[in-house]
Amino acid sequence: MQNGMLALFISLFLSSASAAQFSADEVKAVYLFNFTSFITWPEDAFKKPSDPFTYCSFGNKGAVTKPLGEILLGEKVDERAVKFKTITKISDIKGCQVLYIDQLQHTNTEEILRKTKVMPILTVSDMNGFAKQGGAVEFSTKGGRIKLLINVSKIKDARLNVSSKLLRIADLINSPSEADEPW
Amino acid sequence: MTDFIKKRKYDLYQLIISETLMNKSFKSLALGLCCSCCSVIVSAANTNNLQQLKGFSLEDLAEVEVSIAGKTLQKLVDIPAAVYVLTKEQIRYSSATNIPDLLRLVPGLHVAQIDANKWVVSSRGFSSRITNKLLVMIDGRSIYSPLFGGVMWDQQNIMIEDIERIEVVRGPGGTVWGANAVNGVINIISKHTRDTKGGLVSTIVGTERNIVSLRQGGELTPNTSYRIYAKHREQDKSISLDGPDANDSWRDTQAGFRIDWQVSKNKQFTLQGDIYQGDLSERIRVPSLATATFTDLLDDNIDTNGANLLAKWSQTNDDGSSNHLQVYIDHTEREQWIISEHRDIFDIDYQYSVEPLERHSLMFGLGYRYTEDKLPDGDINTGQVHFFTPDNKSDHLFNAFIQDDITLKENSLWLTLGSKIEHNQYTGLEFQPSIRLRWRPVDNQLVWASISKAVRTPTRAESDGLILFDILSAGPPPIALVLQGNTDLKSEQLVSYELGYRYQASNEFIFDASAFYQDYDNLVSFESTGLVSPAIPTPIVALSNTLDLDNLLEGTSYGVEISTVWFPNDQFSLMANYSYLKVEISPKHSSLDTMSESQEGLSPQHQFNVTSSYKIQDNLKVNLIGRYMGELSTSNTDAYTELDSNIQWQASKKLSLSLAARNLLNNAHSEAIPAVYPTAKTKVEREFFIKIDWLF
Repeated sequence: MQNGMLALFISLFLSSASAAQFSADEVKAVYLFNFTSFITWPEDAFKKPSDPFTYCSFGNKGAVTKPLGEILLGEKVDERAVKFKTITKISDIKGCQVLYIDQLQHTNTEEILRKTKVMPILTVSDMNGFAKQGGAVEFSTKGGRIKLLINVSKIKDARLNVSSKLLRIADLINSPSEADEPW
Repeated sequence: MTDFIKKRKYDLYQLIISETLMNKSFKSLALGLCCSCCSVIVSAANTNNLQQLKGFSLEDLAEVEVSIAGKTLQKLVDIPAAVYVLTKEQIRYSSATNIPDLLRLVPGLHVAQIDANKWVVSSRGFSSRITNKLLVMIDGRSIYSPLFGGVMWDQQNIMIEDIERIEVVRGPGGTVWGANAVNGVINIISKHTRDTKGGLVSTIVGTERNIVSLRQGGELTPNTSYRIYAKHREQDKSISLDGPDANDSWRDTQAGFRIDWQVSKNKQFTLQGDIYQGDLSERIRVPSLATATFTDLLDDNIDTNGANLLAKWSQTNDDGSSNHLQVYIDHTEREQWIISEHRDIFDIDYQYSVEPLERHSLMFGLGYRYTEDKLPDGDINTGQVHFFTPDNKSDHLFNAFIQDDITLKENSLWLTLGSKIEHNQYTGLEFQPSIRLRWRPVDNQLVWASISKAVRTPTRAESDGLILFDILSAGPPPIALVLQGNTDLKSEQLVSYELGYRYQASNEFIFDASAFYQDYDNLVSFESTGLVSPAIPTPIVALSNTLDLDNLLEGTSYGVEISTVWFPNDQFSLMANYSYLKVEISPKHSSLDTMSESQEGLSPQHQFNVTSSYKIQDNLKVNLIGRYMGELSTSNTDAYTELDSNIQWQASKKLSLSLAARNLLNNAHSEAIPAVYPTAKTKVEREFFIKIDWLF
């Protein structure tokens, strides 16, 4: 029985290492930030040239938002200022370029994905099965590492252009079989 | 950035948290760290990390090993108990070749070798081969012996290379772990099969032992991984106290497997098992009619074998609640002069953590254990006197526990309340409550305090045994030392008061201290009935000094345990531990026990050890471990200082070599003297070995 029990019992010595190590949330946050270098949004994703590039987090649960907020501080994407906000209703989704839904949020992703189906929004989550469900990018944990699972057809629907560099390091689903696909 | 990566890799050695861990398995929570609720503290150091991480390429990012339990980890510093974790890197750099030797690195634990196949491992006093107040588990399977208490360390032969970490709690853990976790709990946790893919041949060739281990791991399906292993040890004899070789060489073989199936993201299943067989020697003094002293030396062969199988299921639900179920069976056999034991254990344990409410983090658990043993009578005609009444017995143990972790003040003050309720066949119902308070005045410091109760239940031998241990004098008439069990024996009780402090100054320095005062009652006493005719007629013994067991001792202990870690840079690290212990035992007025007071000196008052690791090059590392052990006044064992050292060379990705020396300072030194059971007194010798690890 007492199996896991001690398991969590990591002493301070581990924590010393942990400080120098990265948490999964930190890695996810950096991924989210890096996406903008490898993905381009269609022009109609923004109303005005002066509109900021907007990261949205659906709900404030989950610890990704904290490092993400820190990373985004003072950053620019394609000459646009970067804004980071938390939304709580699907109706607030307009103006978001990246929508992150933390698995701890326990929200109805189906509705969100239906609503954003053809919108130029990059939907990202660490929820299991998110990409399969129709989300664009899923963070999956494999062998203690955070890997990307990209739903290619969803990206297409959203009219986002993803560089091959990003696709190369990711696992793809719903990928067109043609080898000469212009990604 | 390259420097940083180096540093990162160096630090990673300390910790790769498995997903199992992440799933917040069992009772750790129980001790009161709610893992689900509180927010993460982002220290300055972490922010710095983030900036580094930001500079990573996509490819780098995809290869970063993350502490999935990141959120939890920060909280782990917050455990309100005297905990220590031996990491796999410490294990690797220690040059220890067995579990007791590994435990020498843990602050506050007393480890001593009695002879080549017997050890003492104890926490906070009462050291003996059968340290009955310390609970030990391997992957949650108890290896505490219900027969005498304590652990038969020679029967534990998992691959050292497969150990993920060893978690040690000093002080009572009864609220969570149940009976016998009085002075401490040790859990040895093996690696997830995800981390042991591929083949490994590990060979140790040395002056005291030769060990070969084989392991093969891989994936069965994308979500299922496995490993199988086999290990064989040949151990040389030690030397006896007065010079010549002792007859205590031994060899054993163990094999086993583990399968991990990630059913889905939140569900996982583990199945693991081991099978082993051992063949050991010891020289003991036995009763004999053939000599004038009525004793003779016997070269006894001990045969051990056993097998176990464990299955574990855990599921974390979307609402933050989680379920864990664990079932195991364990069969052990041990045949030797003093005892012959066959035992089967079936254990099932379930735990549920309720979805965290606003201020409360509640969990409860239920468990059941069935034990059945066969303890055949000794052959009285040869003076082999061990009888159990009855000689077959089955026990049922039921337990339940509940615990609540309450946030008194957001991010700074918590209270944990809980109790175990256990029903056993020896003493009936036992309650083991505890209350723990933890306070975080600032982010990098923690102060904790606790009051807890724990019990040790009588062992099978203490309850039902009649055992002749030794002939005390030739007489006439010859007098034997006979231990007589007592079915009315009560549980030993402990109330412990503990106080602890932790401080983490940046990533480079950590300080941890705990102080305790422990108050024992109903400790088992040996009530001499004077010289009487033995309860069982034997051809030899005319009279026996029979010791009836009773609960007529009380005692206190107090002490401090301090440990520090210092990582000034990525080439060098230094860890130092010190512990002080004082035990006082006194018989109650009605007691006739005149010998137990000397138990005060079974454990050293002072212990000190220092570990330093120095990286000469990326692939060359030198480790030094210095140990000081205070004297054991009960057995007149002198204090000693020893030094272990090794050089480890990573010749290539696949091949590593190390050259190790243990106990460098003395040709041989004495660490412990056998107490009741009269085996030969021996010394631990200086030892050299080469270890070759080849991955394929």
